[in-house]
Amino acid sequence: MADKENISIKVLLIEDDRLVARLIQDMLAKVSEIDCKTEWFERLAPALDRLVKNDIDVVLLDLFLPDSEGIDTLVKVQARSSGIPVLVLTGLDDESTAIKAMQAGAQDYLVKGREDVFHFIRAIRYAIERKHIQEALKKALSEMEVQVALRTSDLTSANAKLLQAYSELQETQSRFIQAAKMQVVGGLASGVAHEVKNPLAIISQGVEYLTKKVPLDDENISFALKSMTDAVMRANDIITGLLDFASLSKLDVSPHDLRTVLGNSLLLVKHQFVKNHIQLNEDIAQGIPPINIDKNRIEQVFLNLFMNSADAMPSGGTLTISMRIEKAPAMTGGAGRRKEDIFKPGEKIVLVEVEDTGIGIPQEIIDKVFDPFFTTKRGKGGTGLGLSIVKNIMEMHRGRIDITNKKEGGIKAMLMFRMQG
Amino acid sequence: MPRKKILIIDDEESFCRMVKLNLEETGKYEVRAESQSVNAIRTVKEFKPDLILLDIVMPNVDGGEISQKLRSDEDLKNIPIVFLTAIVTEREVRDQNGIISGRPFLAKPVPVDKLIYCIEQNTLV
Repeated sequence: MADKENISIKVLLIEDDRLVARLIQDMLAKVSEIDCKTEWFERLAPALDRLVKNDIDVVLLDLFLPDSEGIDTLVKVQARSSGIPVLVLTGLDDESTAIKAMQAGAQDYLVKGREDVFHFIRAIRYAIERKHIQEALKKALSEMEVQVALRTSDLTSANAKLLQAYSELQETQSRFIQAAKMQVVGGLASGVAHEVKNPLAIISQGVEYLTKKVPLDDENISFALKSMTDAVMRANDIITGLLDFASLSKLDVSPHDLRTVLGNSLLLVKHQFVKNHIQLNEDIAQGIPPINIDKNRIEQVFLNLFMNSADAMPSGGTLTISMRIEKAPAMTGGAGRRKEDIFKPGEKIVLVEVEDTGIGIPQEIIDKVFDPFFTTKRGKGGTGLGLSIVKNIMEMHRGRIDITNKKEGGIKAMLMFRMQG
Repeated sequence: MPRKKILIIDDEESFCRMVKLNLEETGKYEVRAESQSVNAIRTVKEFKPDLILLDIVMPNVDGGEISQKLRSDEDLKNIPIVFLTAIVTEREVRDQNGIISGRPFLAKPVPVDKLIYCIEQNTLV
């Protein structure tokens, strides 16, 4: 804009009054500071076609033309000329239309018959200057938009990284807290366990001695002794369960073939399955690599699920075990969900599914099956610790367990194991 | 057939007595109980047992120390020791096939038949 005195501009003059048009063209030609190239149109339609080339710097527009009248004329020009300054030419008696035109976005207006050269030049220069400023602004704006987009994308990715780091931190923290809690509980539990198991040992030895010494044909005596034996066993189971539960702060992890571990657990329940007439179906995929687990603990997990299934099928049924590599599935509606999903989307996992055809779990308690001391087998050997230990073991392995009722009856347990780490 | 000599070292006197009663009831064992762990080595030397049932957590001298002393004594090191303790659980013992750090273990409370089986397994000539 420094050398605006010498700029060359293209003027599009749209005016049906030939005399006025001539007058304006003469005036523009006389302006020495600006080199004006004027193109003149009598009608709007061809002028609009001309605007398509997009090389016009300023439009001088009569609003009343043979093929268009009033503000509508301005609107049509603006629609076609995108940002080119428009100076409206009006008659002496029609300044109100001119003002409406300004409100509708015209840059300025010139009253025909009152044109003086200086006013004219000033109006054109202002229009062009405004246009230049607009262009500069537009350019700056678009550059800024690019910058903003770049920064935004930087920020977005930084934010995503932060969120990821934060969630990892949270998970680590919650595992630390869990481990610390477990250590405290563990210390307490093993102290208590030792102090309780010693008296239990005395009682059990005493009961066994009495069993040999007193007349067992007395029904009441044998009932008393049997009850005491059962009570000692139950107390011992609870203490053992508590210790199990508490000692989960330490896992003895090394690579193991999950199939072998599964096989070991099956051996331990074979007798029970035969007794309950339970049919076993296995569908184990080939080529699953060894994964890092605490073998004894995972055996305990399988054993617990199998024993539960055996209890759920007292007079026969089918237990189906499948094992394969899968992408981590989305959360299901069953028990065992965690607030945060511990697998990355699409992460490969080893999925073990255990399905039975048993009595299932009443839907109203399915959310409670993992709660410590919750049991439906109280007085029948249930401590309420089995599944809570199972869940803890899975979580200590940074895996997951879900248990759902199947539509056709029975339950399905899904065990998800991490393939690495 | 002579009765096997079993020494039980445990600070719980009544437990010692109950185990003694139950084992001797079978007629196959002669049992001595020592509930003062400081006297354990002296009693071992005096009684010359075929097997020792050894508690771990005891005041003054614990089962680990007693076991070490027995091992480093030329005359006593071949006496089989079975740890009988409440500091392990049955599951831990089972997971390790009854052997922890190279020694047989039993978890309290233990049924008499299991105790006898373990004694027999560890006193085979």
